[in-house]
Amino acid sequence: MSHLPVLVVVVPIAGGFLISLVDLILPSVKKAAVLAVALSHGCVLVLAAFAALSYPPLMYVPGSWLPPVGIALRVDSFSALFLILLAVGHCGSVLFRLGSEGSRQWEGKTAALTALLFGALAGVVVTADLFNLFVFVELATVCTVGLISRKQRPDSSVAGFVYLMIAAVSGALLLFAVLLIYSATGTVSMSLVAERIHEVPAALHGVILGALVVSFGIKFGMVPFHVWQPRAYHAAGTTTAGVLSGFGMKVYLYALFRLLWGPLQAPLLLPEIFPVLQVLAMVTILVGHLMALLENNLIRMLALSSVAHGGYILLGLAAAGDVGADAAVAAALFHIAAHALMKSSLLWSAHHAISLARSSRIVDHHGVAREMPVVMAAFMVAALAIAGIPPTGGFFSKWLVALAQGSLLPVLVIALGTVISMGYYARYFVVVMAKRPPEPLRQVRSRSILSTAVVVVFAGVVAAAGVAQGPLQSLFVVMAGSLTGSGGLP
Amino acid sequence: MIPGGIEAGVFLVFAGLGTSLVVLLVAAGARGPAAAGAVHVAGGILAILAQDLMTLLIGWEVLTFSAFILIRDDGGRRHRGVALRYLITHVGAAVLYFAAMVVQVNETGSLAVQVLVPAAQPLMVLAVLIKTATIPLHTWLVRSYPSTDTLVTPLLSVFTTKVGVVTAARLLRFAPGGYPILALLGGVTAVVAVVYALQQHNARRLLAYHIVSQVGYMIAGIGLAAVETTPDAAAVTAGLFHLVTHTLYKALLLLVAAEAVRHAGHEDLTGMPGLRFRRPALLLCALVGALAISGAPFTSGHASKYLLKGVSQGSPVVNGLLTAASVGTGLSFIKFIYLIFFNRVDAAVGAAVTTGTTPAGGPPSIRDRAVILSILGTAAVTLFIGFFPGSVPGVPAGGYHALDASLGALAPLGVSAILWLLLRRRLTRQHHRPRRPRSTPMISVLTRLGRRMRVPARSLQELGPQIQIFMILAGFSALVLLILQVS
Amino acid sequence: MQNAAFVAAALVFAIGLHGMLTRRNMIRICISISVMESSLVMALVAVAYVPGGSAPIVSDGQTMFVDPLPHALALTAIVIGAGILAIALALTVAMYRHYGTTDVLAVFGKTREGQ
Repeated sequence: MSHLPVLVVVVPIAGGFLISLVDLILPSVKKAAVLAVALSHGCVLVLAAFAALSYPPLMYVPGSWLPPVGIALRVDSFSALFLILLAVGHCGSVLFRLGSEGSRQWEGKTAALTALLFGALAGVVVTADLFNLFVFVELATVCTVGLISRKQRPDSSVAGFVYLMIAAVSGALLLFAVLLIYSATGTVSMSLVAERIHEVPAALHGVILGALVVSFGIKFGMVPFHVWQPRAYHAAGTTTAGVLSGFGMKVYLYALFRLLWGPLQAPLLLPEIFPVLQVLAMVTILVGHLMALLENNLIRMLALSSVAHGGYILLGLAAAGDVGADAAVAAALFHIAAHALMKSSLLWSAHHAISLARSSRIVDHHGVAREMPVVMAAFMVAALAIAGIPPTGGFFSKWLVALAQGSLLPVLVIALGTVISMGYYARYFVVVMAKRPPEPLRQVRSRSILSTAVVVVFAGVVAAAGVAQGPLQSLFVVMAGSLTGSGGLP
Repeated sequence: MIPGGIEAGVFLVFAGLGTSLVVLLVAAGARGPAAAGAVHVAGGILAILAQDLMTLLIGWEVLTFSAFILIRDDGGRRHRGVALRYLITHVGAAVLYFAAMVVQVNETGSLAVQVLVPAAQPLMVLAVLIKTATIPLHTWLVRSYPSTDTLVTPLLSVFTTKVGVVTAARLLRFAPGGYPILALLGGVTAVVAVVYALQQHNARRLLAYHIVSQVGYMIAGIGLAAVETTPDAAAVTAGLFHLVTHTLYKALLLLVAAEAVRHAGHEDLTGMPGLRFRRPALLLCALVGALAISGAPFTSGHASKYLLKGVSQGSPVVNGLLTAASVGTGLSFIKFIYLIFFNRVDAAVGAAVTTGTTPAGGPPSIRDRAVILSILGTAAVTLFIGFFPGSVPGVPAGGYHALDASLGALAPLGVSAILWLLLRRRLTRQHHRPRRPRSTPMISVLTRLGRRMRVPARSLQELGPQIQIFMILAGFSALVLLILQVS
Repeated sequence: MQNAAFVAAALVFAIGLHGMLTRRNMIRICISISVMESSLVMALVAVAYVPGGSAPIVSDGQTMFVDPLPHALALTAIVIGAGILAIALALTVAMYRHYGTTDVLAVFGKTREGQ
């Protein structure tokens, strides 16, 4: 039990290599191995999360070498949410892939890379020092490049290469920031840095902060560093894009939260950054939604919508430093959880539509809903939720983010975002609901109940989250309290 | 929980009329629209029963999405465009509501339905103006309502704008500097929409403009509640009573129009064959509706307009606007009745305009019987309210049928009749090219701008990797400089 | 001494960045990425330097030693850099096989939306 924080990293990474090995020796049991790795990782993650929720925080020091020499892992109730999300994402994506893809798609390294990616993301969540943070972020980058270019089509290689170039810059900025922190404080342990950071000159502190915001801003797609994202998601395909947008992006946002409140003590030492972040968030929301409105490719449209939703979460973060800490962080957490489920549900149900129409262009999806009403109903429920139509969970997360703002402008930006996003989802809706497809659709391949169930359950949970928003909100406030140090008390 | 006072009357109309119109759709065999219509009715009832702002917003959204389904209908290209515009307009209204709600909760900490804090009022006013199709935000209504099935239009006319009026009655008291802007907007809308209506030749588009105009009356009444000289409750009661009466006679008129369209096979009033006395019951019911909307004595419309006139005594501008609108309304409905029942169309033109759907004749189907039954029912209720206005919950009794009140109502109608004699030719001239209302200039400018922006925006989205990296570095430098500047 | 190392690292970083921003040949871009990362490793090693310190082997009597932490970080960064370089080169080969060119802009232009 006490080894849980390290197990959440070790299990999937060992599992990833095990999957590769099984693929070589016994390809027939590969699916079982993938499922076993995902489920065991899910179990470990959930156990760790619940342990952290009951006895926060959970510290783990491998090899009993205490910081500053040794490294430490730390799980508290703030990270618990992300551990649960990763468990949902890993198990959900594997179950979906089991249900949706034919045996041909099971060749190659996708399954192994997915397991490794989730291991790396879990590492980012549990790590308590900057050194490990850098290592896990880079590991996640390598896995992401592999996943983006896995289809071995020429355009996916290009997208992978572009992402690699951009990620190299992001990694260099992160390493640069770690370097500056180390040279200024003499340690990379997050808790020790937090104790010494006030001695650092303000200018240097500002440079570190800027480097970290840009580094993670690239990763989660903050405007204007988001340009790689639609292309990469399009190349990666819907299943992987669901993982990257639904769960990967959230972990980078987690890292930003953790760094700003933990080692950098930004709300205390540099509160001037938060209005700047607020402006960036508003720009991100508007640009993301407008670009999505202009897009005529479904995957790219969803990718740009995910850029915009990164903006909503950033808006919550900005308000947390500026106005009221716990409520705003809780709102951002609510939106993180809701968006993870909504976006993966959207992308994965889009997978069915795309494989039916054999194209991801929206105009080719005429009459798709008549062929698969259940999946498209799930898509529409998730779309209503993500646009923020009451009484879904997506509405309440936006509502809480809006309530946390100190001024009217961000609220109006959120409101405008809802109108624009309703515009592009409704446009897709009228296309898929249209009568008589212009050309006969492909013979419907049998879709298993499993993959349909995953998208339906995700969309259903988000829709139902609106009903349970009261208890959920108080849970998120507790989680936020463990980040801001108030312990969840008002 | 059923609300008290005049809102109970609104609830009864929403529930009763909504249900019967859905039953009508079922009887007509339109299963899909009937299901969406049932949801639409449920949304309206949810809105009127709402005890807090959140539930009211949910009611708005349920109405919006079910109406979107109803307007989208069979998914034809034109319907799709109209339905999309409808949806975007109303989501726009809902997000303004959302923003107002955020302001309200931040200031008071409560979601209760009450008059909003002053900071939230302008946002909510804008939301309500969109929702109630106040000119110049009325285009969504006149484009969408006439483009649906003839039996769906009455259902749509019952809820969306009326829920906007109810919202205004509950939340808005907007008179910055003691100047009743909302009431003036309502009065101007009532007049301008009538002027538009007089130019229409399409049966349902004419009625749609009259919805805009009549909702203007209600907004005028409710807007007057913000003026200190007017008793709050009286103004709200007058506005909502007009909502009750108008909803009933407008549904009646739209059903009459549906019958006329079925006989003619098309919607051009100037090309209608002239039913005369072939359908005496229909003629009587149409007269009941037309007299009610014109505000002739002993009709429901007269009763509610009488109350409105009472509350607008303190504001001569609003009073004058409403009287002018009454003149126009009377004129417009003389034309409506004349063209449907007494017009003599040249045989050649009539044949040219008529396109062959099933003409009347032969045994009436279940659909026809159900339509006739609904027409008779709504006409009966309209008559009843006309004779006994005090029977509607919350409405003060007495005074409606007094001689001076009746004469006051007849005066504008007399002007209408004189105008009719003067303008008859111009108003009933045949038009071979039906005019479609243009969309709001702002929306069309935005659409055009969007189309033009598409290419540059796409190319922005396709920047090469090195330019992206350059942007990242530039962004990093700018951010650091900014942080250093502010700290 | 330390400052000289930092200046050198900055210079190498600038060279790498310049190559990454201006070269169109993907192999050169790969080299530039690698150069850029090496400069950070140089800086890491320089940060750890303690004047007069010995190797970080803890034993009695030794109090002055250089910090082992940046060394571990540097080693890891080198490994990660090598991994990324390998992937980048593999992708370059894949694209060269298909398009017959290593010009990154040409390849990027060919996979634009709608082409």
